[in-house]
Amino acid sequence: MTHPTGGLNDIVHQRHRLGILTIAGDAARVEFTYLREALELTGGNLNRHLAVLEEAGLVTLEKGIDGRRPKTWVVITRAGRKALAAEISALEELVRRHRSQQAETTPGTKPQQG
Amino acid sequence: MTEFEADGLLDDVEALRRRARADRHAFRLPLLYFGLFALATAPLYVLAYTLDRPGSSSSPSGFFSSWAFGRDGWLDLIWLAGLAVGTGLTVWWYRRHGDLSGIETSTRGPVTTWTAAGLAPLIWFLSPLAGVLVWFLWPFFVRNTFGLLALAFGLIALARVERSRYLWIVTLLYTAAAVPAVVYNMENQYYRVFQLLGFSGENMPYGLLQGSPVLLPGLILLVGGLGARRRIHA
Repeated sequence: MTHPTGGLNDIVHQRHRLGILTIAGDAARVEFTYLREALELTGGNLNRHLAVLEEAGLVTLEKGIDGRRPKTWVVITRAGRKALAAEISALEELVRRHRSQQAETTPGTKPQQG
Repeated sequence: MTEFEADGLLDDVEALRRRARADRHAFRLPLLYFGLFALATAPLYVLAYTLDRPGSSSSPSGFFSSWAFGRDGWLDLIWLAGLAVGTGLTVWWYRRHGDLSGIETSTRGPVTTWTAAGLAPLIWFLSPLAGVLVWFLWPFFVRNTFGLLALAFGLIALARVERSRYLWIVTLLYTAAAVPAVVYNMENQYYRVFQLLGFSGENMPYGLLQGSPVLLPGLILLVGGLGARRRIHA
């Protein structure tokens, strides 16, 4: 059996990129400003993370205009959803494995199920 | 990577998901609109009853009350119109909410469901084969209240995309009230309530009772809409 860290994707694993995919994965589309505020990033930083995700085919960017203001909408792709689900599973597996190892080494505690 | 780091990341993911969900919820308007619309159809059922009584000259719409649609088929058309307006309103409202809050929910599922389910009575009445192949579905169409069920299907689709426990509760309560109103003569139950309140056969408001099946489902949506939190991060 491979170690769960083998399931972690370097592109998705980065905290802010995981945040972008998490928010975009829960919505039809999400706006640049919303992501910037929710993730407490600067515009430049967010742009860099979005470029990485777009290049990997995990999100697409839609440019629009609201009145005079240009808007950028982020839409997660099917591959993005898959990568997000795989990352979450790998993280959950990692936590489970650590806990069961800890329970085995600590006498008198039962390993957690599931 | 340690367990603590992984655990921290999972906590972050969960917190972001909760925030995104709360920010994109916009089901208040559809609940209010459909609640009001359902309540507004009550007088139409009273009207249909009055027009159907012996001695009454005609139903309000010639063709739509003909053999093809049944005597009160016009009620199904009013439901279809109400669902169409509600669907359009929902799409516009979610777009607007998305523009204001920066996060948008997909309305494709509810829109498809409302459209398909709203057209079901038309297909039932107009397709000669429908009554033969799926004759056992007749209880759903005979009372001209199928619109309530069509609305329930769309709300279930909306609750799925909204992933809101509150909307699921409202939807399930509504569906529980709507199903008997579609497949059973709920006015009989209201008749019994009126009897308990002291109304006898002579002074029983039979006409008014005809509008009663849509009241409880409509009220549930209206209260659900009023109770929904208004939350927009501009």
